[in-house]
Amino acid sequence: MEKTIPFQKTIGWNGLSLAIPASWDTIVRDDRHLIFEQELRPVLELRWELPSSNSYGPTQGERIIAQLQKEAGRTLIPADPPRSLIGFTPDYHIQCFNPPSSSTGECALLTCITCGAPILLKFYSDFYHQVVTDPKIIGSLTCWHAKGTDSQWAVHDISFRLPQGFSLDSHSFRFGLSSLSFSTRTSQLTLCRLAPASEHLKRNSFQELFASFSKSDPEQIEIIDEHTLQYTGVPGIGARLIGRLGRRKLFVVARFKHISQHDRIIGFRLESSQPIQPDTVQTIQDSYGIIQEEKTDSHIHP
Amino acid sequence: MGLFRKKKRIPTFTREQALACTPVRNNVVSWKRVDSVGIQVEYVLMLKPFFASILERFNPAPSEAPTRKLQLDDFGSQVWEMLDGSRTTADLIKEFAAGHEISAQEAEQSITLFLRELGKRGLIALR
Repeated sequence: MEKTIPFQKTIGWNGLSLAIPASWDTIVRDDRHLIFEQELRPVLELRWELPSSNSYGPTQGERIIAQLQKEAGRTLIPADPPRSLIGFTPDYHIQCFNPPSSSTGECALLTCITCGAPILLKFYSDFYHQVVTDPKIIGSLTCWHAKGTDSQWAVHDISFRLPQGFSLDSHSFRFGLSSLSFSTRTSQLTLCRLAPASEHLKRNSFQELFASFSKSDPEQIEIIDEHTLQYTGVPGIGARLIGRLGRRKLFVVARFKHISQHDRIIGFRLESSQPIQPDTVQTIQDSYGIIQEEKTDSHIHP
Repeated sequence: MGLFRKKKRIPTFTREQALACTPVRNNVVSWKRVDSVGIQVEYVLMLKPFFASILERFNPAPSEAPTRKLQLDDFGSQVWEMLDGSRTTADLIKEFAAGHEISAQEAEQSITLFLRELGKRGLIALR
């Protein structure tokens, strides 16, 4: 009988989402490169690309395979797809290969039939059978590129819904301060998470931290409640005209929230050169939060 | 002919090897806990021969080697106290992440950076 793994968390990052066991840690290597680890040992690696509209030359999938062969120094031999991937057939075109390196069990290239985005999965040999035989892990993989809706993001202990049109600019997961930056043609969105909040609040007051984050005058900060601060910057007509010449983003909405039960401060700053739509602010404000992680034993054993 | 000398190859560690190493404090380094501030580490400054020769010129018979003090913050002090030779780098990361409820990625980044800084000053060694 196969042992199923309890699932406690969903990871959503830059167009992909996946349910993973609570004991796995997510390492964000790059904008479209995630590594999942257990006890600091890699279990599964995911790399993907944005769908390309270029129909000339080799496809993205072919280029990825060529790169893998170059890394391996030999031709990759096609292998039968593992059972967990067979359920994917209606949504993805699947190609599986034997190990390109000694540390990797097997790799599979999925190409989303709807949007054409190639997704490369690498299974690490120590955990290969456990990951591959349980259809829940890979079966939960969802590609958001062609959905045309707000995308769900969840990484480490933060989650939010990103309004449509925004794309990831940069990310940082330094100790004490995580930040994610997104942009559209006219707007810039910055999300931050301060942890542990108590350490930050020892050095600076909540208002001071917010004033520094929102780049606002402390007198213009609006106190929503004991744990929430907000700043809304709407320029006058003269400033708007001058700002337009320099393409400056003068419309600002920023919000800070102290979540004392998790000892975290979360905040966002949305800047735009055009008036900010209340819907956009509302989506971020309502969805941005801390994930409550359940402490259960969900380790998988190699 | 320093210009054309063959560059020394710096030995590189894989991540797995680095995580399996046990960082230990240098016995020569003296340290003490200063109340409400954290741990203060005092170490002998390792001068390059060129600078040491200049120092010697101005002070021909130095009574003692120049030292420097390093004040660690709360988190640095916690990690310093954990460097007793019983924990590997991986253990330190796990313990630090669990203690502060942060992700393994954040803990690994901060711990490895801290250990690298201590290593550069000769305050720790990897076993």
